[in-house]
Amino acid sequence: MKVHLVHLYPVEMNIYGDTGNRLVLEQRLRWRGYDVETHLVRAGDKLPNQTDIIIGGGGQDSGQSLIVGDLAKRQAQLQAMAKDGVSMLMICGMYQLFGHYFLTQDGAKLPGIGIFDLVTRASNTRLIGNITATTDFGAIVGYENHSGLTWLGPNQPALGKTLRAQGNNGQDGTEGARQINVFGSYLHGPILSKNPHFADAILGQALARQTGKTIELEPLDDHLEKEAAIRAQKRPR
Amino acid sequence: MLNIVFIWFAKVLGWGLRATGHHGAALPGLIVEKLHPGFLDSMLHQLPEGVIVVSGTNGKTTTTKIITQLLRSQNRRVLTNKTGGNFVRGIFSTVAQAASLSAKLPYDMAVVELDEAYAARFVRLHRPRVSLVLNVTRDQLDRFGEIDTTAKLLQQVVNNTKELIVLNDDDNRAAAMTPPATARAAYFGISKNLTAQFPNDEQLYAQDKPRTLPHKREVELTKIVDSSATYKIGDQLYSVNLKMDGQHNALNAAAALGVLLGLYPRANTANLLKILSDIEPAFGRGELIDYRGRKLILQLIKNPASFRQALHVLDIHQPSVTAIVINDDYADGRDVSWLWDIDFEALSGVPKPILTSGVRAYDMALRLKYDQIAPQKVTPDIKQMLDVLEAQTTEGQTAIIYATYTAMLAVRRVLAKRTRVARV
Repeated sequence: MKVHLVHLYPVEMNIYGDTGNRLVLEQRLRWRGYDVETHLVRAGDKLPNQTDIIIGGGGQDSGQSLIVGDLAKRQAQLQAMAKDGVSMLMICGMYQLFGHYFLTQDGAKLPGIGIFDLVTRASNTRLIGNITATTDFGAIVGYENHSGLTWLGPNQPALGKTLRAQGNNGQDGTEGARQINVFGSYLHGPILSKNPHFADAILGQALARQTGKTIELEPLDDHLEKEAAIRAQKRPR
Repeated sequence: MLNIVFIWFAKVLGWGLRATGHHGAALPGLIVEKLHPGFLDSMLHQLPEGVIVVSGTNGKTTTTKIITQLLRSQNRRVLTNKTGGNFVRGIFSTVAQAASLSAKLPYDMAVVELDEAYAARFVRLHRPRVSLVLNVTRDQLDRFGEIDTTAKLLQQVVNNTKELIVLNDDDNRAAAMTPPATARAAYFGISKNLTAQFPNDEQLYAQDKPRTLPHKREVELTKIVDSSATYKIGDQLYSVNLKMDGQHNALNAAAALGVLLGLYPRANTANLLKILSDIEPAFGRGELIDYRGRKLILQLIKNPASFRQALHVLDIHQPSVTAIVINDDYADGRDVSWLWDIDFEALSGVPKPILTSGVRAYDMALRLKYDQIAPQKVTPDIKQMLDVLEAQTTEGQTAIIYATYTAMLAVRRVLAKRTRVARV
């Protein structure tokens, strides 16, 4: 069985090691005997006919400006895919653009594609530091580094709650967002590296959608992941 | 008169700190900076040949050392800041300690190494005669936020430079910087055939983006095989055997030569290259230490670009053991996500033991795991790592230790208890 993984804007939106998420998903599939084909989709490229998982990363403000036009053209297609249960993981800059808009420092409004009911506004301070959040999948640990503050709409579920960190905006205790199988988060690290349970949840959903039945993923030896996560949680902000 | 008071104060405080076993660099500088901010400018104005600022992401310490030694070979009395004083207040301390008790600075010029943020602060206190921008790559984004922000800081340094700007012509962000009207620009770079060996940040992350059009270059590195480098200067080719390993140091030397030849176009080039061939690597930059009969090579790593470059050293030395020590203190960068921006393929072919250590030993091991590399030992305890390293090697064999900044200091502290380590 083959899983088709799309990395959206791998060059334009890739600043804090988020490529690692791709590597984690690929390897955890291969180690269990699945085939995986990765498609690097840049501005102007078409999505492959079969798409099981889409990932996107953080970028610089300049990177975001480069891709908003291209992203707008994909709005209807990505919204339909999200409704259809395709798994997506969007980090930082791409997470922001999966909301309604991002209001930049200069007052420019970068339009998003509204898969999440949320808005983001630039602020003068950067929210930086080690972060732990509790989610439906258990605790997840990573590192946040953003100056945009994200506010969820009244019916928009968060991905999790922050423990000792800032998360979406540093005020309401929320971190990230979730809509069916689409996840948004501010966590770098990269997020999937120290949270294999979260990586497997995404893989499980994607396999279930492709096969139409629940898939029991074979357990892997995750002791390095666990040790790294435990230690990261003990580090200062 | 005020300067004299502060120099006495800083010297006495510095002596006191060192006598009680403290590092004497930062505190006196901190106090002088606060109480008498004009001190630095008035002192540095005494230098007849001015100040050279060395900045950029990677290669500052080595390049500063090379420039200093080349200038000294030209009979210049050169003041420079020692490792650890890589902040503005470190320069306050360096100046205060170097000044005579009557507030005279008995030097011709100064070469100061400053990171991007501190360089931008320094030029507001004192306008340098020369500034050198080595490169702009991703590093410590937990401090700087974005690479574009870093480039803006360096442009401020350039804007405040009086006479000469020396820029890396193969780094898109550095090459695009424009000198102020009163200054001129000189460029250094690599010839086209070496492009694949020296990818810049844009190429690493945006493979098909072309480099900016080249400028006329003062110095060009045209060939590098192991430690033998060839430079094109004017229309002449010069070959030199360096004591500093690695292609990145050959490029740092090109930058230093760019500064020297930019300042002194009539200097004897052959003579400069001879001096260059005798320069030893700086602290932790490929330093060689004899550790109980083993050849230990210490490589400082700071960010994806420097780690990637340092991995090339594996080919030259074929070590019996490779250790990687990752800390995440402020000086290392708190975010270790950057480890995922490096391809560790160079290590996957190595059948020899790999050890990971430091506060983030498990993060490093985890990164290697996803490149299908299994470390033989994972231990946050650096002493234990060195014990394993010793047990896994025999006398005469070579081991390489890659370490982040505070991890390197920790490794050296442990080594100093067990063997002779050169003082920093």
